[in-house]
Amino acid sequence: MKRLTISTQEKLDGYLFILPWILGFLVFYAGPLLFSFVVSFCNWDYLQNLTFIGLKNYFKIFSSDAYALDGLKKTAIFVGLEVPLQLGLSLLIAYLLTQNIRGTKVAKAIVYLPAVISGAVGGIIWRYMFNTQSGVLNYLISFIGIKPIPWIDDPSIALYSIVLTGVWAIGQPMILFLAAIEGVPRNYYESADIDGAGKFSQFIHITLPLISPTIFLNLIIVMISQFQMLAPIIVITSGGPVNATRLYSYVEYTNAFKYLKMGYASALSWFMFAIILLLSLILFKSSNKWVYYHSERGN
Amino acid sequence: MKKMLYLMICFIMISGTLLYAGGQQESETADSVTEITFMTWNSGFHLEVDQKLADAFMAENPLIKVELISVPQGFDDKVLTSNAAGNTPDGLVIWNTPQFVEAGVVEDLTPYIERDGLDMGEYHPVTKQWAEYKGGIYGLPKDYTPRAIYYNKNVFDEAGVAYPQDGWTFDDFTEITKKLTNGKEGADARYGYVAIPGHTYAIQGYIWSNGGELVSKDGKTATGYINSQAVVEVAEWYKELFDMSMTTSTMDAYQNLGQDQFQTGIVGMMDNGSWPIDVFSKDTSLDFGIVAPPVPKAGMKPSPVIHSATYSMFAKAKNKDAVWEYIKFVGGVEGGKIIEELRYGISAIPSVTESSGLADVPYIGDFYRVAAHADHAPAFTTGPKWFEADGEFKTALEEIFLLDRDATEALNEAARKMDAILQN
Repeated sequence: MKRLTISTQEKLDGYLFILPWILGFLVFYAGPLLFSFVVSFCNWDYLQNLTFIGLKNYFKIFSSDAYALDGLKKTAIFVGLEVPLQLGLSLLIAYLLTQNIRGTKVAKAIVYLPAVISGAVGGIIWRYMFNTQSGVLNYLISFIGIKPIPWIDDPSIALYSIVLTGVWAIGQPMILFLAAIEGVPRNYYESADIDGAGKFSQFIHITLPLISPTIFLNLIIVMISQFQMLAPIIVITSGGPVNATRLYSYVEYTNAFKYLKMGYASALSWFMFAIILLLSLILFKSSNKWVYYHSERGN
Repeated sequence: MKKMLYLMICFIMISGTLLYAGGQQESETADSVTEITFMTWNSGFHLEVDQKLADAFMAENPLIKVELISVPQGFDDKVLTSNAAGNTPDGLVIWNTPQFVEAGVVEDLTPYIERDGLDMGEYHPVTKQWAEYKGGIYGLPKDYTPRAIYYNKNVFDEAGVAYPQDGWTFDDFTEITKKLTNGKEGADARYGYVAIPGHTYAIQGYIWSNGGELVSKDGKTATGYINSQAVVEVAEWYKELFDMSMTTSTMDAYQNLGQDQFQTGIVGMMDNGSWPIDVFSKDTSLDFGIVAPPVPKAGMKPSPVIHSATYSMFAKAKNKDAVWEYIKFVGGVEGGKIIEELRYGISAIPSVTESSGLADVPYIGDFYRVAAHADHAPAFTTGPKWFEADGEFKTALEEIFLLDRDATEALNEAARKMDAILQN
């Protein structure tokens, strides 16, 4: 029997090791993705036969569904507020945690803790906290003389209240920022100290440029996850009041699982995929201008 | 490296063989017993009641083993996805019969009912409507509860207001709410009532008692129904009530209809089914009563809405005869007697309640009395598209209650949108 070369044998071993993942990807991701793409051109209510209807589902998004484009607008507002909030807050906390302050280990655990709670459970806790009459948020603000706020009962502020729930999702980006900030060589700061640069100046001119690859990574991850945000909406407001929090993802969900319009819901999902892909490509293109990679500069 | 790989492959093969052998052994010993799986949305105390029913059934039918599958969150989604995947349990509880029938989820039980000579006329007529759709019978009615008004006697006594009596009117309700509401804010605030925006279920009984309907009988037309004078009047009355009541977001209302606030005396009245009785009865500091929903004008009849469900069979059930035996037991006289003995709920078979003495038991007996007036099944039983159309009605109600929109205008707009959905 012909013996395999060491190089071929290693390649084979490598493929064998990743085989479970590849199989899982094909069966649980690629297959359903392809199926949903096919379904997006069909009329399908879950069980009955698929009927091919061409691009009708895609046209419907722009013509007869009042909630799809309105949901997209609300999603744009939501993502536009949520991404800077999560990135800004996680960066700020990560930076503070790298300073020599007592209790940083406990603080890290506290900030990361909500990340291990599922979106639905977190949503229920937030719903209780938002309750106008008995919620803890109104209880706390009553100490500074502020009247109860109808956080999720007033259509004009409900969406912004949902944005607030994003503060519980900063654990993941914070951990990445923390690792990046700690990876910045100390000697840069020492040199800056000698030159008389203050902390703020050091943060702007040393920390930010050197962690820009992580900022970029977090930006992409948080943006995509916020476009897909659904569980808290289902349990906190169910899209209300007066459709104020009926985000695009909720429109997809209701069409798929409440109205059983799986074909149309698939079309909505693929349209959202196209938007996210486009935005990601724009961000990747723009990253050449603001993301600083050590290796590129020969450092 | 290579050795490790071979070891791993050997380990997986041996474990697989052993697991298969174990499975074989188990199924061989259990050969004479038919195992059925039954899916329920219940958990906690409610699941314990389900288990007691299953245990009683298994005691009588030792050759059928029932395994309950509890899915308290996302029940409908799970039903639909498991059905689409072709791997369903044998039985389930359902409430939205038209949607599940149209999606091919549930089995028509008519042949079983006819074969065993079951008399569907024994069931409360409204609960029976839950099971029926397009000429088929898709389940046996489960226990039920009408919605009624709970009143906290302590709150009434403190304000010197007389307790409401069956036959009271919309105006009486408004007046009492006004008297019990103290106009203060924060911890000192007291309210006559806890009102819910956008809750079709809670408001439809008032619409029926005012002579209105939400949708045509065939479930295809909303115009002329949802925007009729009868509905506009109810929306305007409820708006007045809403403005002076403690309000709760629609989502909170689905989970907890102001129960805590009622129990602690922050609100004097609340609208609910029989579910909180168990908790309230154990609270020795709470003195409460239950009264039928108010009627539009003196002398009119209430038309309380009922909550129920059915014990049903998956169309793809593997053990249809065995699961039918279980459905027949839990949805029949024996199951009804057990839940009434446990004081858990009212059997869908009125003769069971009449013989069990439940009608004379405080609180739960009040609900039985109120249910005698029930003469309408909820609007969603008319067809599968109601859910989508109902979203427009809820939006209109929220616009009226939260944004002070004119009721006629909001309901006219809702009717147009609902027609487009229902007739599409």
